Amino acid sequence: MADPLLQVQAVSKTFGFGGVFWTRRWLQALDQVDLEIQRGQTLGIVGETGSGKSTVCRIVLGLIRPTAGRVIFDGRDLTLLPASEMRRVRRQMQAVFQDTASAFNPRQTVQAALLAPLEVHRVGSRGSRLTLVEEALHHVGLDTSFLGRHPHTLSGGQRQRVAIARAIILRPSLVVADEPTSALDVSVQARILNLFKEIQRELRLTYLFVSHNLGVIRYVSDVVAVMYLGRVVEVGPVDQVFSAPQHPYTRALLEAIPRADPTKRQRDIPIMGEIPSAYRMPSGCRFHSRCPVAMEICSHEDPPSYPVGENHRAACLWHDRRFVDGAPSWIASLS
Amino acid sequence: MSGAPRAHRHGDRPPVLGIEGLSIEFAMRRGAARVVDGVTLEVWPGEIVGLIGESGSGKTMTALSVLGLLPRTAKITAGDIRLSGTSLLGLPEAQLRAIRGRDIAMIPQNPMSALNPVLRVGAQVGEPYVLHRRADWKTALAQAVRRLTDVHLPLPDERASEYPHQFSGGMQQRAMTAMAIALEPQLLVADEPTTALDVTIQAQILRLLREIREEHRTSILFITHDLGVVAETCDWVYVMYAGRILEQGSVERIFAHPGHPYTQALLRATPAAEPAQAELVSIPGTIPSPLDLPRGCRFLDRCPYRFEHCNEEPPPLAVETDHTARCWLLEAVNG
Repeated sequence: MADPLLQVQAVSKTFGFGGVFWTRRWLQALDQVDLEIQRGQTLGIVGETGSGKSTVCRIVLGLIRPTAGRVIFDGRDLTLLPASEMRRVRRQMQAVFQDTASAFNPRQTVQAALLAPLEVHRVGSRGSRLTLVEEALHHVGLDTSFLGRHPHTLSGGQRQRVAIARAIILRPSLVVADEPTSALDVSVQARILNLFKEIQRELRLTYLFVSHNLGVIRYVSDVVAVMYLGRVVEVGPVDQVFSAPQHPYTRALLEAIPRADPTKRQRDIPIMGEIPSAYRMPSGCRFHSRCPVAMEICSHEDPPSYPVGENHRAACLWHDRRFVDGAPSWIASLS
Repeated sequence: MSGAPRAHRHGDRPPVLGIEGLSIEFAMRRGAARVVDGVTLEVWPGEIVGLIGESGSGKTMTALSVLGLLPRTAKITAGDIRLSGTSLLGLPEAQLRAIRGRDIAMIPQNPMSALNPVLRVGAQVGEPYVLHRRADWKTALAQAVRRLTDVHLPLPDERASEYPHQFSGGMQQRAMTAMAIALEPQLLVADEPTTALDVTIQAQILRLLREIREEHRTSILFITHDLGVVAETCDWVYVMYAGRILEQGSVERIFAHPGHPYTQALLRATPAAEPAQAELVSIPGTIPSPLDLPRGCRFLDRCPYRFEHCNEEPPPLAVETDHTARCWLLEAVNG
């Protein structure tokens, strides 16, 4: 049954840079983004630099306000909540970021770093807090000998464990993880990813998991959203999206990943050119300038999101009834 | 099953790059940290050789030593580095400077910090012609534009007169590559050249490096932590761990039949986009500190197959023709 913990509805975000009103440059970071995460599941977001995936995280966490749209968390619209209420809700959502070196106060011990959220939210008594700290450490596979250590004496993997312990210590329902393993070595990354899966089961957590690494997203996600220039171009169950992608950008992205198999090398460059500047947004479909299967109409008609399978949508005009007859063979026809 | 003999080897000629028994140490308060220990590797004409390792493996120090760019505190304590048979060690700095850029060039991980922010790109790409060939600036700039065309930079004439900050990351890396191939060096050392790039751009740069090899027969030493990138690009692979080469072989052999438990573990710990993996097998423990290396095999503490014999340092043992791994299991199996 659908039981969304988080819904992002038609969220747009525009940033302004420099100048006064009429000389200011405006950058549309997000445009009408719709996303939904079911309780206990993981929504993975993939996309290249400038796709807006980190902006989604920051809006969900309430760190910045959307220009338009609604963020509904556990039935409540966060964009309407007063600051005092927001603080209470924030206890329910925690974050883990990529750069663990700057995520901690260098003068604070692990114990102090883990106590801080409990103190801020006035959880438990002084004595019971320490028990909670030890419990959280235990969850992430560290023992109490780490309590007195300082962040810089820890390895990257250990620091990320402490960051995860800090994120779960308030028993949140949602954890937003923005590239949490991108700075780690492969062997450490595997352990952290397994840890994320383990504590999700144990604590029934819901994840919003952002990564540019499609292998990582495949491994942790139930549902995946593919973003391009501030839009969600495809969203669906991870197995479906990866095995039968329905947007040319998703296809190109999947083809561009170097495979750990020298007998299957890329023959052709999947997409030419680079992601255009968000200051000069392409007309029509945002991907048309790089799309290998673009039609003439794509340069001036902006595609809506079409249903292409169960819980699976893609924003590509090839799915439109007008064109589906001549579509490339990989385009699923629903009619 | 036959092992692939090394296709690029020429019996009568020396390798383009021959590193033999190289050791590099840092003097620390707690003793000497040997970060590279007895490394032997070869790069043959027209060959792309992957040097793969996680952080702390010593791969970057090995690369820097080839260019004579080791930090001042590092000391080469043993071994030799030869370029087409001529030893580079002990050459006076003036002679090394003549070799760098002309015979050996480097493509760094972060082009933005390698490019001079206040010089036009054309001048930077053209500079080698002035420095090494005593060309006048007009000729040098014309050559620069030619090289920028070689690396498929769009609008090379106009781009040559722009500054690095006006370039995207992918374009900056193309410019660095243009500069590196300016004088058609025998050897390119590429240190994680695509790690900072998005995957679609990475695919384009990898394609470019292969093209340069085809067209100019340039040899490339490719330093990376990414197994996919190695599988996609390299002919020959060296796997480095805690200062040692643990395994070497053709790219097909290494990926199809990894001989060393560490290589096997790395492959199992890497999340793939397709097909999905049920479980990532992580590697327990951490890489040993260069100040506190285990006696015997470097991978000892983390190896699932260790037995008494592993306390003794394993020599390179043959898995197959031209495929060796430093692991006692091979001797146990081969008898």
